[in-house]
Amino acid sequence: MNVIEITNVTKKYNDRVAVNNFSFTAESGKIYGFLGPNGAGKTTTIRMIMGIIAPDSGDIKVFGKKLSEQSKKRIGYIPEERGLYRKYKVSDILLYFGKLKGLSSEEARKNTFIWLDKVGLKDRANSKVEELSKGMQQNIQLIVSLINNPDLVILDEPFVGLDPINTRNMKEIIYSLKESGKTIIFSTHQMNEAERLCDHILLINKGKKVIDGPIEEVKKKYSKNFVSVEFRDKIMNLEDIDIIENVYYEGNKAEIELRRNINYNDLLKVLLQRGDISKYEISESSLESIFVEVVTNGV
Amino acid sequence: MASKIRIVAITEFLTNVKRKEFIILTFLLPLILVMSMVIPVFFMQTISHEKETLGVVDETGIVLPILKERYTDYVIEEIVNADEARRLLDNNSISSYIIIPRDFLKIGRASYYSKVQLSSFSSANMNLERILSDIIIESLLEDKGVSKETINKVKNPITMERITVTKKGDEIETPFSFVGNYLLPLFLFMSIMNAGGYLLNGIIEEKENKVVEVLLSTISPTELLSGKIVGLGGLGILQVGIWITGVVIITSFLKIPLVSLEKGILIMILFILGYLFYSSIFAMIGSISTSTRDSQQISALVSFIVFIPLLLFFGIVQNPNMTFIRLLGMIPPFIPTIMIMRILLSEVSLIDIIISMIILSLSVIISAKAASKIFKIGILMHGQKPSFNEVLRWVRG
Repeated sequence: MNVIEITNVTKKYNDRVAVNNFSFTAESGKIYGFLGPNGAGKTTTIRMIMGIIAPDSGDIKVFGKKLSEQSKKRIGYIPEERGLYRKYKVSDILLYFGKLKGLSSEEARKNTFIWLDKVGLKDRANSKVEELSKGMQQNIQLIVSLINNPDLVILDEPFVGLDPINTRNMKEIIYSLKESGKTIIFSTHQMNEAERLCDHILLINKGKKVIDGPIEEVKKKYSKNFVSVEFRDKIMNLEDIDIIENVYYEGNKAEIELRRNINYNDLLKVLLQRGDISKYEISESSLESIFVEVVTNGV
Repeated sequence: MASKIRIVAITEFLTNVKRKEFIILTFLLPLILVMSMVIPVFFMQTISHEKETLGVVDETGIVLPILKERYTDYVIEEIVNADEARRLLDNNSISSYIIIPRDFLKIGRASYYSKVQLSSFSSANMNLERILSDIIIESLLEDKGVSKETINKVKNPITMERITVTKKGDEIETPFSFVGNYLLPLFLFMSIMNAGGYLLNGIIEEKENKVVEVLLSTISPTELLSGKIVGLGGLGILQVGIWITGVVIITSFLKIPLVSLEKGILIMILFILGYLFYSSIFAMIGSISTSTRDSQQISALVSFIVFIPLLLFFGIVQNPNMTFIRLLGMIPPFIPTIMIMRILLSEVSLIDIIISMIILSLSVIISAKAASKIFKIGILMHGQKPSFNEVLRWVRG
């Protein structure tokens, strides 16, 4: 069953189109990345999935049905604009949200301590939120969204403001969520994080979906095949090799752009006939370069 | 009640009941108020032992002995002439002096000199004037051979008992009921403003802390707002309950009659409706405000509007059922306070009660609906404060 089905959704703010005829399907147990520049419509889309704002037109289904109070309880959500009651005790906040999400007092208490233990904050249960570091607060924020063991987890810009250690912790938690069979959707404009985490990416620009597919396919489809070669001796003319599209020389190094659908091994065979090679490196273009290219030039 | 509303209500109640300001307002303020009434009385009684001196220049030779006998607010000192009196006043030997001219008993004119500006309403001054006028009445009537009995009758022709006719029966007014009639609306008003203030601050705090979107992913805006209003309403009822218990204990101790149960119930209904009305207004203010400072300006204005009926108290006491007051008591923001005062001070006609309750209930429904709409949109807004037209669009949309 599809966890999320968005069909032809459009949302306008006054005259500005924030999300334009957007469709998307998420399957169970995968990690989806919403990528796009600031103001692309990622947060608006996520808020519409969460039922916080209503679309002007189109249809959104979560767990096969229109969002209801019952299905809301199965979603864990960290918004982009996030915060906590600063003067409250950590355990009070977690109990409050646990109960709001339909847990009994005992369940909420139990889960609070399981999660605090998991993120190493068990001894801070009675601290006020304002006494915690920013990273700790982010962890509490994460527990709030996960306290009732939701099936779908939506994280809007989860890496913003995290130091490298907390970024790694966040990634580990996202992986462990996937392993326990949950569906995860997160938005980011940090391509390197997306590249390592996602099974599937959506690139959104100016309210429109520009790319939608499994990460390997996307990279295959949009990447240009580059190989960087270093020869022992001086560089020879390579333009005459018919599988090469373009060559850029730099001393005894060359950046070679292959024609599409050409095997790297075929190139290596041809190049070995021309001279001694000290280094041969395949450099697929990164998600970041795809992103920049698509956003600046369109596809 | 839906379980989420209950969870929010209980949390709001428990969080705010522990606040310092709540405890101060509930327990300390009434204490301060009682002290502020008791201390001056106590103080007056103590300092009255140190009486000041009134110089009397009596050219009639009749007035001075009577003053010495009857006028106890001052120590009376005889002074030979006006120049001497002025000299004594200048060097502060006396605090004031009065000149009774030779023809005083005929024309009734005397002059009072003092360095302190004296209020003609001060009891010392009123006593003095009364004693002097008695002297003239006695002298005039004695000359005509009128009996002592008649003279006393002329001096105090009437005694009036003030009795309020209520459904419970006739009740003789006590000084306490006057104070109570003013303080009860004032305290109910403060309780409403206090709970409304918590609601306002709570909404802005959630906005500023950015916790609101997390909340809205688990609970609908209407549930959130309802929970807050119910929880803080409970806080107001607890506060008023504590005060009423205090008043019941004091009045039963002093054996002073309390308002009838009927009136008490009406007042409680007005209090709850008033709270619901004002909390919706405060919710609207909170939703469109972007910072605490921002909201304080608007809420100060609202508090002032609510306070207007209390400023009119002395007018309402004169005649609680005059047309102007009746009409004012039909305008939604004034209904709770005006009607509570009218009910306390008189027997309000049933039609007035019904009309005002209907108007107030309708206002509560309309303002709650508008508040819920504004809240839904406003609570997610950051930065720019919306224009009035924009807010109107939210309400209509």
